[in-house]
Amino acid sequence: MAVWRPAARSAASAVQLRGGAIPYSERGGTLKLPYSFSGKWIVPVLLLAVTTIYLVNALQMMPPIKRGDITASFFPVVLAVIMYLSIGVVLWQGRSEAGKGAAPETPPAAGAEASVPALNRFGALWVTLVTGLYIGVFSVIGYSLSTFLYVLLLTFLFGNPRPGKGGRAWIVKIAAALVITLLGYALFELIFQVRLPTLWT
Amino acid sequence: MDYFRELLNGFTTLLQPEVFAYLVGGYLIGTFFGAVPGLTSMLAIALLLPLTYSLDVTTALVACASIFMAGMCSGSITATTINIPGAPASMMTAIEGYPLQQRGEGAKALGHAALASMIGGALGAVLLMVIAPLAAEAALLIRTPGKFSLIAFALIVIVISQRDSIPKGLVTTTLGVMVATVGIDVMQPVPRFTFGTSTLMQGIDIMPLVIGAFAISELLVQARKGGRRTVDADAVKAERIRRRDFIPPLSEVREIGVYRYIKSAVIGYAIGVLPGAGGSMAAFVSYAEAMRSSKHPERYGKGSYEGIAAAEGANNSMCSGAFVPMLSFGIPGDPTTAIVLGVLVINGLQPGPQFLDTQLHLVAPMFAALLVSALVLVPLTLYLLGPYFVRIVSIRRDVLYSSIAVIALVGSYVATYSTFQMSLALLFGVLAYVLRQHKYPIACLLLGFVLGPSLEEYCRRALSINDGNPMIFLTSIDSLFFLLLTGVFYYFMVVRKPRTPTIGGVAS
Repeated sequence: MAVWRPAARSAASAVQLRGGAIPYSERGGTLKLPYSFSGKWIVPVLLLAVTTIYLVNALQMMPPIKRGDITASFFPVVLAVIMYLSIGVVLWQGRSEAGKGAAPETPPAAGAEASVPALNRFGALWVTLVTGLYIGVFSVIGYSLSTFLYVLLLTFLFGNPRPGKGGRAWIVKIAAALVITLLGYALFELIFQVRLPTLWT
Repeated sequence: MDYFRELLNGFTTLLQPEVFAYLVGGYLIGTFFGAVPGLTSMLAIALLLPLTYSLDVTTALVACASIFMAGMCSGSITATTINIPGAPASMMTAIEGYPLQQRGEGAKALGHAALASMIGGALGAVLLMVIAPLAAEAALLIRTPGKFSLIAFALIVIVISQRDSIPKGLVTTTLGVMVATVGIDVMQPVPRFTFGTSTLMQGIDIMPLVIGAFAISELLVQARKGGRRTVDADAVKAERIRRRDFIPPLSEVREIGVYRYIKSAVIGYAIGVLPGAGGSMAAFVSYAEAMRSSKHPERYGKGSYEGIAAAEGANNSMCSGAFVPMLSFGIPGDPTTAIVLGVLVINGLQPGPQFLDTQLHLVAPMFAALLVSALVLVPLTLYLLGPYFVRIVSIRRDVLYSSIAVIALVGSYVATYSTFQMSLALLFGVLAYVLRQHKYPIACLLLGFVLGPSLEEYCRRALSINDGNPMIFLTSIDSLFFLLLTGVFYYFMVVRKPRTPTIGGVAS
């Protein structure tokens, strides 16, 4: 998961970092974004890997042209070639921008990131994990219990993670989780006649 | 005459209690999603998609149409009152509306926005009713090589519409087409990219892609943001809006002029017909044209009613224009119509040249819904809910996004009653989130996915009828026409970029 550190850096230092000449400590303890896991290269590299698997699979399927006829692997091979070319252009553009000293293309503004609480900074990761867990237990423990727990956890991730002293904030969150679970049940099971999984089936 | 009789029947269908409830309910949901910054009407339609399994197709289309129309004009509410466009299409309205709000004329600005949305939306709906059958007639003339070139034209225009990130647009479009190749081949009974699993044999359904790309990815984006409410409560309390102030004075309406309203509607409609162009582009082009031809260009950026009228008239008219290629050619021009196409496909319907001839009774209520939403619901909603709406959209983030998460995930379970679809939705959500964070346009992913199978099918059919000779695409007149059209668009959109005023330039 992408991690962006709060320190803001100039484009010039960004270029310097490519050579790796500056010690880590002088970089304010940050990784250079365009070349780190969270940088602009991550998507092209991931897509290159996916495209290579896709192309190998297509070629293993059958030859693109067989006895003069186009086969099922022809179009995927063409797509893979287009993908390679377009990723090449994206990478070339990224290098040109870095060479011109353009600001690195980072998702959120580095300065803004500093003011974001830690829970929010990793918010996307937490939501992904919690959602994965929800999907995993959805059929096992049923809609009602899994959804109640899922919504309760989400209210912490999307709202104030520290509800404050006293029981009132907790009661509000539990009540919200209950109401959303019940409304979801009413919408899907009662109005749209969808059979949702239950704990006992 | 049968065509117009069927259209009239569409209006009577709207009077059925269930359909009417979805029309009004859809409009209110669309207004809410359009007004809340970060949410869009497209997300609302994406969340509706799983429910269409249980809904009558006409009712689902009516709900989609009213959500679409509502989402386009409701962004102006927060754009004007607190300078945060609820929807991207309301960016230009914020530039003109907020200075008026600061001068105490915010309600009047909203009134002008609603009036222009009403006129633009209604004219767009009428144009759709008139032009859609003509476009369908024209579509009948296109043969297999031409169909391939037409879809290629649509995909290329979608890519080059991403003006500052064309290579990234090409990457995501190609990725969408690649995802669409999973499953049984379109021409032969050969499984592709199933990796030995039977679950992928049927291919990847549009629903997890839509839910993942538009709902889950939005949740992940919002999870990185702080704050308890969607809209700052202090900003909401700053101004009180009175209902009588919404009615714009006749003198100002006359100053804007009938010609300006019609011109904006026509510009919006024409941009809607183009693939890849959405409400934002319609509003921007119309606004730029209004500024260029205005008698008072010096008022722009300081609170021009004319600017608001141009932008809002165009983005509402765009809604109807976007349906023309989808219904006549089966080619959705933007993500919203791609999702509406998903609604039709889920119900076993495939739009194309003969779709209006055979299924007009199903879509006529949708045409009527576009017109009624624009003519009646736009002004009525503003008048009744306008004074309270900014408070309504100031909702607790934890409640809002938790609810969206439940609807999205349980909705994706509905298709096959298996958690595999939910897992796919999460996978596409994470993928779309990473792409969004690195400024890859995810709308291209959906459009590539939707258009990919037809592109492959027509390409292979055209080649097989000509013994694999690709010259068929140049010797067939209709194909050559679309290839030349692609060249013309490429020249004007990429080689010779249009010089239009920038938002930043106007604002400064």
